[in-house]
Amino acid sequence: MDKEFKFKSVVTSEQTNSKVKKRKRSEAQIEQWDTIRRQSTTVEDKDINIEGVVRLTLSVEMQNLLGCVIGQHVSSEMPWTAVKMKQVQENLISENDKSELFAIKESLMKFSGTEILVGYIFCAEKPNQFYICTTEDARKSVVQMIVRNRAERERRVHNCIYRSSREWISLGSEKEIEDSQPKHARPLFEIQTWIAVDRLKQPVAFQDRDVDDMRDGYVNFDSLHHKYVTVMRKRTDVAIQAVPEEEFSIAQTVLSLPTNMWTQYEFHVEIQKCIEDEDLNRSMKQFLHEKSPQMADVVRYNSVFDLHRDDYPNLVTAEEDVQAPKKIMYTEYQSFMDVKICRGKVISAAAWHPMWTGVVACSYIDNHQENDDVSLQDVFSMNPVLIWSFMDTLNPRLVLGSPRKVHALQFCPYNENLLVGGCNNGQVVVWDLCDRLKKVEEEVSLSSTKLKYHLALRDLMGWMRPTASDRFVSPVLISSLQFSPISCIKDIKWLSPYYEISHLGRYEEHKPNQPTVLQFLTCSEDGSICVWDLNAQWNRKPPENKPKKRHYKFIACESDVLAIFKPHYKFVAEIPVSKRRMSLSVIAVEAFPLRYMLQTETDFAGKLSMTERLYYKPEFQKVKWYPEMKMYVGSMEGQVVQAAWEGYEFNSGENIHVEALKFKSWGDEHDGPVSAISLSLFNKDLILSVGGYIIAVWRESIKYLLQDEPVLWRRSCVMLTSGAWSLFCPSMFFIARVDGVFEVWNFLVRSDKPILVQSISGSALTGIYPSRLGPMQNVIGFTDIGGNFRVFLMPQEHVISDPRNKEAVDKFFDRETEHRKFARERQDRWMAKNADALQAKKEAAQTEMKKREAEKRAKERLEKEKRRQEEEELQRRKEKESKDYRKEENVRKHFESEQEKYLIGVLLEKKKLDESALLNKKVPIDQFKEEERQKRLKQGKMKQKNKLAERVSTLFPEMVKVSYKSHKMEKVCFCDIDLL
Amino acid sequence: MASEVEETMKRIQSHKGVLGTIVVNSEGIPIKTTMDNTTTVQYAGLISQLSDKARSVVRDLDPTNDLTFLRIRSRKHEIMVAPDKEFILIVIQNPTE
Repeated sequence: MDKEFKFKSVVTSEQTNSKVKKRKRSEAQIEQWDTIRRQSTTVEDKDINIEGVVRLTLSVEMQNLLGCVIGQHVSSEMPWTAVKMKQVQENLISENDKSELFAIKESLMKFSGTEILVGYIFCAEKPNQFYICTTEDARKSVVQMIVRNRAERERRVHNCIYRSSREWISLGSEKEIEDSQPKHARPLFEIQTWIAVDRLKQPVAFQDRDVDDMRDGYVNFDSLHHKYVTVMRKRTDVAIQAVPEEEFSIAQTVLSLPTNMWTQYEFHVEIQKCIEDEDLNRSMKQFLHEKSPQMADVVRYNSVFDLHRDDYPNLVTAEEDVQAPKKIMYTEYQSFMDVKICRGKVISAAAWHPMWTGVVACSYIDNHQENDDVSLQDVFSMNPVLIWSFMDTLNPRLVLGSPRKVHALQFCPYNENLLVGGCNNGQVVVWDLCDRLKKVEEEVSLSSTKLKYHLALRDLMGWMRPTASDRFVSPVLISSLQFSPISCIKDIKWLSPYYEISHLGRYEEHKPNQPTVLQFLTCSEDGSICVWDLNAQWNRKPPENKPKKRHYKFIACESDVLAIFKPHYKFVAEIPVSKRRMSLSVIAVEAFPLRYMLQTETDFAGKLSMTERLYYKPEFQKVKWYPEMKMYVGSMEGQVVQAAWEGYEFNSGENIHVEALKFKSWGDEHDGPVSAISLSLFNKDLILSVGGYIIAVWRESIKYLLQDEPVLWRRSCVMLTSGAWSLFCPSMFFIARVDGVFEVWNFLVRSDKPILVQSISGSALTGIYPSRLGPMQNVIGFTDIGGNFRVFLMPQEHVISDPRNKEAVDKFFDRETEHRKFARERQDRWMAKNADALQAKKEAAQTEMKKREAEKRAKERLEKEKRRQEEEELQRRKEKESKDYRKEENVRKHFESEQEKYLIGVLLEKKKLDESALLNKKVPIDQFKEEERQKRLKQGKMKQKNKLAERVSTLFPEMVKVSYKSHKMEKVCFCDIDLL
Repeated sequence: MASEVEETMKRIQSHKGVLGTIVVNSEGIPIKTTMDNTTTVQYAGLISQLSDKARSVVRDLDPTNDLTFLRIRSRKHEIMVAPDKEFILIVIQNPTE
C-alpha cells in the first residue's frame, strides 16, 4: 500500500508541479516533452540490471487476465502498472507449465505481496515484452528508479524553460543603433486650435437664391461628341484714358483804328479840292500811271464778260433740246405684189405718177439666173408694166403690155396720160393711159348672182371673140427698131415743156399757138442719148380715132398710119482719148420749174385718208429761164460726166442729126457702175451720184476749182444700189444698199455717217422713189429684188422743210470746198517742194517691190517643192496604211452585221415572236418556192426541148415522124441532130 | 499835271457800267473822285479799312506776299480796289446784264 501510495503521491506531486510551472508555455507542450523523456528512458531501460526483474513475453489473453493490456492499462508513456497476485497465482495453478509465467513460478510463489509490478517494454521488433518484478526488492528498486528518473526529468524541463538572465556584453552595435534613432534637436511647436463647436450644432435655415447671381447657378451638360475649337487670343485691346492737359492762353489785341465808328455818323470830311502839294501830286500821278492800265483792263473785261454769272441755265433755252431725241422710223404702209404676175421677177424701174397721188407704175423683168436662156426669156416671158394704186395692194389697176422687157419708166410730168418706157433692145414704148384708170375704178362690182349669170351667159356665147380686158393697155407707140439705140435703154428723162430741142439740137422757145412740147431723153448702154419728140407723132394722129377702140399694132408695121417713131436728135458719149463709146447707165438734166395745183377740192384740215387720191394739175409759168445745153451722165464704168452740146447751125440733110457730147468735167470717183444721179431740187448745182460703194456729192459751180473732184464723198461698207435727194429737205438724201438697208443722210446734222439706218428687207434693194402726196403725209417707195414695191411712210421730221436749210447747205459746201482747196494746194506745194525726195522714195519703193517679188517667187518655188514632197510622202503613207483601212472596213462590217443581228433579236423579243416558230411557218413557203423553181426549171428545159423539136421538125420532118413512132428512134434522131 | 490825273480817271470812267472812280490816300482820305461827297467819303473810309485788313491778311499768311488787287462782287456792283503804298484806287462798276 505504501508503494502504491508513494507512486500515487509521485504522480500527484508531478501533477502539482506541472500546474505550478505553467507560466508561458502550455501544459500540453510540457507533457509532450515529458513523454519524450520517458520514452527515451523506457528504451534505455530495456535491460534493467536489477535482480528480480524478469523479462517476459505476455500474450494478449494473458494481458487481459492480468489487467495489463497494451493501450488500455499500459502504454509507452506509462509503462508500469500493478497486477494483483491473486490473478497470477490462479493462472499458475490452473495452467501450470503451460502458463507463460511458469518460468518464474518459483519466484512468484515466493512473493509475498499482493500485487506485482509489471512494466511494458516498447520495442518494435519484439512486441508484448514485459518486465515483471518478482521480488519485493526488485519492486522497491524499480520504484526508486522511477522516482529518480522523474526528478531528473523535471529538473531538465525546468532548466529548459526557465533560464536565468546574465550580464550584457557590448560588441559595439549600440552606437549604430543610437545613430539610427531620431532625436529631437529643437523644441516642439505649440499649436493651438479653435473649434466653434456651438455653431455646428445650430439648426440650418435654408433660403431661396437666384441662379443668375451665382457662379455655379447652372450646370451645363455637354454632349460627348462636341468638339471644342480653341481660339487663340492673339491680341488684347487695352484702353487707356488720356486726358489732354488744359491750356489757357490769353492774347491781347490792340485795335489800331476804332471799329464801327465810321459807319455810325455822317461824314463831313471835305475833299481837298486843289492839291497844292507838288510831291503828293507827283506820287499820285506815278501811282495812277502804274495802276490805271490794270484797272482799265479789269473794267473793260468786266464790261464785256460777267465772270460770276451762272451760264448753265442759259445753255439750253429751247425745251425740245432738253428732251431725248425721238427715235425716227420709217413705217411700212403698203407693199405691192401680184403673185401671179410678179413671181420670180424683179422691178427694173418704177415711177410715181406726178399728178395723181398714190399711183405708181412698175415694170417687171425676169430675175436672171446664170444658166437661163436669155433670148428665150426675151421672146416668151411676160414682161408687164403694172400700174398700182393705194386702193388695192394685191391686184394691179392696169396691166400695160410691152413687147420687151422695160428697163426705164417715166411718166410725163405735164401730161397725166403719158407713160414712156425703155426696152432692153433699145426700143421706146409709149402708153396712153387715156383715163383708163378712172374707167377701171368705176367698174361696178357685181353681186354673186349677177356674176354667175354673166358667166353663164358668156359660156353660151362661145362664138364670141374674146375681147381684151379693160385692165390691159397696149402701147400706143413703139419706136422703130431701125432707128432706136441698139442696146438696153437705162434711163429716161423728160425735158422742159417751155423749150423744145429742134432737129438741129438747139433749144427753141415754145410758141404759144403750138401744142405742148412733149420731148424726152433716153440714154442707152451703147452710149447714145436720144431726144424723142412725141408731138411729131401725136399731131398726125387722127383726132377722131379714140385709142381705146383701135387695136394697136406695133407702129413699125403701121407706117402708113403714123410716121416712123424715131429719135428727134441724137447725142453720142465718147471717151475723149480712146473715142470709145461710153456705156451709160443714168442721165440727169436740169429740172424745170413746174408747179402743180390741186384740182380736187380737199379739206386738209380734216382727216385725209391716204388712199384718197388727189388730182393735181400742172401750171405752166411764164419763165425767163433759159435751159443750159448740158446734161449729166453716169457710166457703167463709174464715171460721172457733165456734158454739153452745141447743136448744128444748119441742116446737113441727115435723117437724124448726131452730135458727140463735149465733156466739160469728168469725175472718176466711183468704184462701180453709177446707179443713180440725182439733181437737188433746192440747190441747183448739187449733184448726188451713187455707184459701187461710194456716195459722192458734186458741186457743179466749183468743179473747175476742184479739178473734177466731188465736194463730199463717203465710202460705204456695202454695195449701194440707188440714191435720191429728199423732196423736202435740201440737205437730205436716201441711199439704198444691197443688204436690204436704206440710209438717210443729212449732212447738216452729221456729215460723216447717215442719221438713220433702217433694215427693211432681207434681200437687196434696187431703187428708191420718193413721192410727194400732200402737205401732211408723204411716202417713199423702195423696190427690192423679190419683186415687191414697198411704200413707207416718211416720218414727219423728214418731211418738214426749213427755208434756211438751203443757205446752210450752200454754206456747208462752200466751207467744204474751201477746205478741200486748201488741202489740195498745200499738198501740191509740198509735192513741189519735196519732189526729189518723193522721186527717191518712189524709186526705193520700186526696188523694194522688185526685191520682194523675187523673194516671193523664190518662196513660192520652195513651197511648191515642199508640197510636192509632202504629197509624195502622203501617198507613200497611204499605201502603207491601206492594209489597215481594209482591216478597219472588215471590223466595221462585222460590227454592222452584229448590230443587225442584235436589232432583229430585240425586234423579235418585242413582238414576242419565236424564231424557230417563224422558221417552221416559213417552211411551206420555202417548199412552195422550191417547187416553183423546179417547175420553172422544168418548163425551161421543156421549152428548150420543144424548140429543138420544132427546129428538128422543120428541118427534118421525116425524122420527127419516126421519132413519134418509137422512143428509141427519138434517141437516135437526137444523136443525129447532135451530130449535125 | 492835274489834268493828266483827271484824264486817266476819266478814261477809266468812260468804260461801260463804271459808276465812279476814287483815289484815296493812305489815311483813308479821298483825294480825287468822280462821285458825290458823301458816297465818296463812305467808300473811301470803309474800303481803305478793308484794303488794309486784306493786306494784313495776305501778309500774315505769307510775309513775302503783298496785296495787289481786290475785287468785291456784290449783288448790285463790283468794287475793284488797286492798293499801293500811298494811295488806293477804287472803281465801282455795274456788272453786265
